Amino acid sequence: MSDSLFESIGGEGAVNAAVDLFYRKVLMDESISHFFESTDMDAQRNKQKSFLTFAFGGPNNYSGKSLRDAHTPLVNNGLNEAHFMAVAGHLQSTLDELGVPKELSSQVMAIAAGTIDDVLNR
Amino acid sequence: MPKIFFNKQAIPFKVGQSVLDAMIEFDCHPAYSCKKGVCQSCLLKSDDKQVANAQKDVKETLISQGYFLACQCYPKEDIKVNETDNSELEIDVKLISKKHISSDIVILKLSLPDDKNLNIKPGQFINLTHQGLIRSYSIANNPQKDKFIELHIQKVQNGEMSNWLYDNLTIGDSLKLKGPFGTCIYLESHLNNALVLIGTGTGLAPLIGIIKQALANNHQGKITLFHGSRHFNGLYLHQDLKNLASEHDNFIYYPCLSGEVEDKSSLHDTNISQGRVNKIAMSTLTQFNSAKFYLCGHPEMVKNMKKMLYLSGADLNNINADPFEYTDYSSL
Repeated sequence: MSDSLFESIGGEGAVNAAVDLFYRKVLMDESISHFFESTDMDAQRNKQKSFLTFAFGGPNNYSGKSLRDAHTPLVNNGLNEAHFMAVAGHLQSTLDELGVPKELSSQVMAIAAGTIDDVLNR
Repeated sequence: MPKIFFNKQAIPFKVGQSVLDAMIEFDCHPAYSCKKGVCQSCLLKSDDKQVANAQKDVKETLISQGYFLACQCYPKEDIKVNETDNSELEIDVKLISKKHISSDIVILKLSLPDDKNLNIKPGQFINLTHQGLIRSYSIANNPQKDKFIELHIQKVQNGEMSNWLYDNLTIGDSLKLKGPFGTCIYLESHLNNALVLIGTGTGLAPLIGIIKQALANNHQGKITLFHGSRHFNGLYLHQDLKNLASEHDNFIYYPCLSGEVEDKSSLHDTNISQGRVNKIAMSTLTQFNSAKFYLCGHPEMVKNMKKMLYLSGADLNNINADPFEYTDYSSL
């Protein structure tokens, strides 16, 4: 069996390299930044880190229920599929910028895409 | 409904409600101020493991005794909590100097007891208590060296504590102080780093404390201070800071006025920039990746500045934002 996705992509180091690129892109996108702005930016950045660890196939505490519950207030605030796609776009461009090979980045994108129903509480 | 057991009372709470909110609802009149896990006014004690997530920035020595922040504690089941022993936390201080510096800012100096080694660092804050009120104020000097604590108090409209301090407190009066708290401090290991400090109003207090400590430490990196105010008299240390800048080559001071200039004489002071402090800082700064940033003052300025610095490439770990929101939640 081949190495796990998390190992191939570079493990925690890859997450650390990606988190600021990704969080800055999200914050600079005015169509979605209000969902990510918070007085506690450090906590927000940590959330992006756990998300990336999950999407990179790493060890995580994500469960469908926790994802669902965490996003309920955002859904009540108008979070919809367009926002989800915008975040996915930033994830893709982060991976591209870091030079992650297509066969790995497509796996990451597939994991992220798999959260859509929980994130949007559908 | 689960219950909080406190002082022989059984206080019912809803899961998702903080210990503090449940106590307020039950008319226990707990001490609190910011409700954001910052000011440490609502410290309580408990042996219960459910307080583990409510001990952020609480001192190690206090954590070991079960201290936690009631506003940050969201228990899921019954929990027993105890009042804190104030003699463990409180220090008696006396007012030794009071200087009204403008129509709404006063500088206070408080004596420190000789017998306690408090290890108070510039940039940290303390809580003052008076007749059931608790308010947090930043330390504007190096108390270890000076043997007193300097505070800069700005009168807040309808602010009971700040008005009392400004108007009524007189030399020789005793006060109860708790602290110090906070981690927004100068580190000697940053000797060669550029320091960038941005503040509005009396948010200058912790920044000047940090600057003085850095200069006393013979700091090698460049130290840049941006102080913003709407009006000229809000630049309440203008002359002192200009003097400090002329004495130290590596200290640069940018006073910024965002309001209308009613006193034209301030325009002749070529040092003063016109505009909001965050805009002026962003158009002046060029280096973001190795500098250590200190932000303090108006919450919107701090929030906006932190975001702009981060987006410009600053590492969040290098941004110390004094998280103080000068909102008095207990009066709402």
